[in-house]
Amino acid sequence: MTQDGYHISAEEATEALRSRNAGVFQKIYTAYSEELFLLAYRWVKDNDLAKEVVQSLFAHLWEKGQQIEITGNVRHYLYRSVTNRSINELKRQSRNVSEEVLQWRADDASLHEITDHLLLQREIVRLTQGLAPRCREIFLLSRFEGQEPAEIAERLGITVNTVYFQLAVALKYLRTHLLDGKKLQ
Amino acid sequence: MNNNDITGFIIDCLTDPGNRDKQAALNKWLEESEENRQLYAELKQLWEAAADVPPMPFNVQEGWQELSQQMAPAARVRRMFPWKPVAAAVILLLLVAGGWWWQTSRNAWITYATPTSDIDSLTLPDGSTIHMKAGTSLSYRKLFKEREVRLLQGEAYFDVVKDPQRQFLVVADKSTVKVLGTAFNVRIESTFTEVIVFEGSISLHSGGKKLVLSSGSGNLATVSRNDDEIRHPIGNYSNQCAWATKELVFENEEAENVARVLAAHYHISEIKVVENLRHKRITLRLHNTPQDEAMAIFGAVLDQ
Repeated sequence: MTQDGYHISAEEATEALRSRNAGVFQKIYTAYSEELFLLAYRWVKDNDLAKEVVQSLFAHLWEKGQQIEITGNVRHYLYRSVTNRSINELKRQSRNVSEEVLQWRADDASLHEITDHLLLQREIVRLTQGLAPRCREIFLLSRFEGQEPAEIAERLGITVNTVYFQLAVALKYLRTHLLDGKKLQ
Repeated sequence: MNNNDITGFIIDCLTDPGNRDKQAALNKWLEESEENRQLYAELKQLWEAAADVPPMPFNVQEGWQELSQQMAPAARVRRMFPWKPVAAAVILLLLVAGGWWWQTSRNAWITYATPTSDIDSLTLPDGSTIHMKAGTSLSYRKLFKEREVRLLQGEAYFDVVKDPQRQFLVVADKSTVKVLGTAFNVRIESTFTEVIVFEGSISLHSGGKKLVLSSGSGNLATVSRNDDEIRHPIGNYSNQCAWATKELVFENEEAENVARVLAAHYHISEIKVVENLRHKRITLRLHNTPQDEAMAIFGAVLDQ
């Protein structure tokens, strides 16, 4: 079921919204919500707000389905919508709207590039589940929370060398599982 | 340097970009080979991609559940109350159009889609019930004089009230199931449609062919979407209806198989059976049994 959502065309998606087809709607949500969350987070840098942006987008699609026409690529349509909503939400809350999001252009090249980036991130999130607990903890502190190796060492009461060692284990694990020796880009 | 040291060394350089000694050592190492440069590029990309990942993962299941609560029809009806004057006008219009409506509604269909990610059920005007898995949608005649249901997608279990005067039709893709009163499961997959009879018998029609299917052994048939071919394998598949019937029956089956079916039904990752009892044949009947009790019964039967 998860896989099917990616094959739904713009016409099928529009039709599903018109006829309030919850099954197809759920497939679209299941397929794209995670990467849309990652995209929203990239713009708003706030976990709860990113989730809210995604949820309100889908609630809007369901509510206003009669008037909505999805054209072109479903993923790109959703990316554009999430980006616009993120900007509006930041403005509404009088938060700083970064140059990055304002400069970001929703042309095909940028859309493909950001899709690759988000899918890589999604895989990283999934793969970290497979790391040994301690290794995972250290990797999350370093990457997702942006702590310096020295801070992590102090927080966990271990040596900086251990932190480097565990980070290296995590990175190698990700590289082997993700890239499978293939070249990136 | 071995591989682990190299990764550690690269991380060291990535976390300390201001250190000139480290950067110099890195540049020297990069110049050594194309392989080194590629390894560095890959690790750097991973390292940086992981940097702006949110600290909390997104739970798709949970998100969908929250969303589907907002999608519930009740919420939409409530929102319509401020529209009272409009509603009054609509009622007037309805009265005027009443005669026309009466004519057309005889042919009207009601479409229903499971709103949540849980199993849902629906009682039809004739008292028959339908259990639906998440992601299922179907439609049925509004005036249920002709008992006809169209399964549009997903999987549904039908418990049909007996009425010798009126047959009950389920149309699923290119297949039609005709019954008078019985219980059966219909599932639409991308390449086939499957029917399992739990109680009584049905007749299955597809592409001009017909097959009578009864409960017990041989109670499953599939119709291929491509060529309408009907397959009718041996075996009793009643346990596949357990999601709706809550009934599991095993007759003279290997303990290992029983454990697998029980695990799937109760959403347990694995039920372990000791080596020497795996192939023991057991008979077991569970009806609407809570998980703990089911495990106790299974354990007791195994030890007999």
